[in-house]
Amino acid sequence: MARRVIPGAEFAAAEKERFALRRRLARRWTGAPALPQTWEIVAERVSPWVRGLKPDLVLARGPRAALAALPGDKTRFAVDLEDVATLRLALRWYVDGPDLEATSRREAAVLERAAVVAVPHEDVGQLLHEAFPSLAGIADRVVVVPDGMTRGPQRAVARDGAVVCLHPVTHGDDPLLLAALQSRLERPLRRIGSPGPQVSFLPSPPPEFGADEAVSFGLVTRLADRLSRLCGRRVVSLLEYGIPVLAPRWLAIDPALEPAVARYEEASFEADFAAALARFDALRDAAEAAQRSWNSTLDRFLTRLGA
Amino acid sequence: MSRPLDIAILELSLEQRSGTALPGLAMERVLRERGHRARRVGPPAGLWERLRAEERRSARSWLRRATGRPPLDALDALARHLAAMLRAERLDVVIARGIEVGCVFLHDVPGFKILDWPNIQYVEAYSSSESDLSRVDALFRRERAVLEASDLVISPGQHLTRFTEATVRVDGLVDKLVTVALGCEPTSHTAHFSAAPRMVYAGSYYPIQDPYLLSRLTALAPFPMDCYGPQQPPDAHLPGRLNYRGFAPDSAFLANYQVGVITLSRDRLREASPATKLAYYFAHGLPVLFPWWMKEGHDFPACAVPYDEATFAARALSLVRPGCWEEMSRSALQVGLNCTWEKTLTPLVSALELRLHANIIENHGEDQTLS
Repeated sequence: MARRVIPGAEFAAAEKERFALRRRLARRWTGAPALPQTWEIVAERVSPWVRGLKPDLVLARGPRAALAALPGDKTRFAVDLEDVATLRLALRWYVDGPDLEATSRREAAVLERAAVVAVPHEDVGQLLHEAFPSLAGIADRVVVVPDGMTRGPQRAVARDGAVVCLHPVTHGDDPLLLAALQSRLERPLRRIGSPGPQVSFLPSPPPEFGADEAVSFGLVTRLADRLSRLCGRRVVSLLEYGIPVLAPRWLAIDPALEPAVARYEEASFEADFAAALARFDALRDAAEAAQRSWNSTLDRFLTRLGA
Repeated sequence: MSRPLDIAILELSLEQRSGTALPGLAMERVLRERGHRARRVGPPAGLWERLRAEERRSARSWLRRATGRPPLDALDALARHLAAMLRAERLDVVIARGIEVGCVFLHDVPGFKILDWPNIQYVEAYSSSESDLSRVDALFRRERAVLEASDLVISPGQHLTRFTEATVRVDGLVDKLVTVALGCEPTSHTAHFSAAPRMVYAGSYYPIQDPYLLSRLTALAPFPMDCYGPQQPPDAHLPGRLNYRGFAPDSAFLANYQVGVITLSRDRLREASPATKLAYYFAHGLPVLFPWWMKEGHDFPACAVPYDEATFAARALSLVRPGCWEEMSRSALQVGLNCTWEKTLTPLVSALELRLHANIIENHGEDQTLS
């Protein structure tokens, strides 16, 4: 019997509660160097409830949930991480040293305690190993669990079709890069999905919605920082539509999907796009062949969990 | 020689010890040497921090919410304070160093308004982890207003100027944008070859300098790497400790090393941004290792070498080979001589005097011009 707990709203409320008078007074009283962390507050709220369920296994999904969900010693514990919470925090605009240290200690404790650490790409496992060199045996507990696919409505795929991107773009999708590439494409860029938040800082308006047009490629953009480049989920989402993908060279993608992906650099985008068109048929066939179910990708993970 | 100009160089803090302070100090000195009355001014010590704390408190104030008042805006409050301070003086020029103090141009301020814009704030926020695009947009709208209110905008490097032109859509900005490269002070303290070489990093430890990368490089370095900076960096969360040696009041310590190291985060803004430390390393005769995505580094192939984590150790070793090191060090010294502040600030001084001259003619007639 599997249940999902720790909704995102808990984190939003906890983020506000960090600054509550009671918390600040407690900090002064105890001489703590930093305000309580968001995950500490979520853990306070959620832990009693999770304990009440008496689960055989707690699986924490995502780095924030992992920090909050560290259970007692008797419960089997696993985490599913797409990146590293401490490094994500360290990439914030400005961040205090005590916040970083507290998060780092907690994350080390989580990784120490987890029987299985699921990651979407082997580079994430490598980064965990690199970021926590003192953790013994972490490499043995890491399992690569690539994203599965849920087949979407299929689009007509044609060499001279429009290029599409998934919308709304979020911060990590690098909308500035998308806008820069949009101005250099010699064919229409259409979006799949809603236009997203209205923002004025982008140098061009969001692409128009493309309903039934034939499509040549799906365009993925992504920030190039140490963590964002590890998230190739947009590639998987486009392949669910059976569309071959153009992705930045720095993006970590499951090697099994590489035949359906043409790589580009921003500086050489036009040439890279022309090279992708030259092998369009092979890319299209590979996109069709890349379909795989969640059952197949989760199999190894569930075996390791003993579930 | 025109009459001396009264110039206020507006800083967020007059006490800051990082490389951010160096251009302001250099502007003050060079403009004074040209005969102008230039002085650095800033808010009273601690005011900015107090306003920021008040802003955070007021965002949670039930009284403000109950009375329908918006939370305090620290930048706006600071700008009002600075505008009142500047209005009390007779000024020909105000140079606002950074967008925070540049908000003063949104108020009634005397003189020719120059924004020294080393950092595109909204793109920096955009590059920050877990950023929210609505917040980035709010920063953009404010930054756009400041840019529109400025008469001249200084960009600290050619690559950043090109990035700005391609990315920032603000009416009239391209015509106001002047590139004024970062410079260095001439020095007699220069590095020497050593059979036991050492590397140095001198700078701050914010996310934009990527302390994580610095920590990785410290572990990968084939010979010792020391770090200097205004504050002890928090490094307990890093995979390896940094060899932090403290803060040095001047740059002479650089001559005790053989290689200068630059680190920076990998994002679109930093790829295009210049580094203050680069010219200072060169001035002391240090060949430099820079991350390959930093565009400015590639402008100096005779004395700067790109690296990534995989190539860092090998590149460092190749730099310190006898013969190679001396040649690169000589090139570095030559570059240092060519980019002293006197030289790099020339476009600012010329643009300032030319545009001001035209401005005064337009506003007051020939008899009021600089005589």
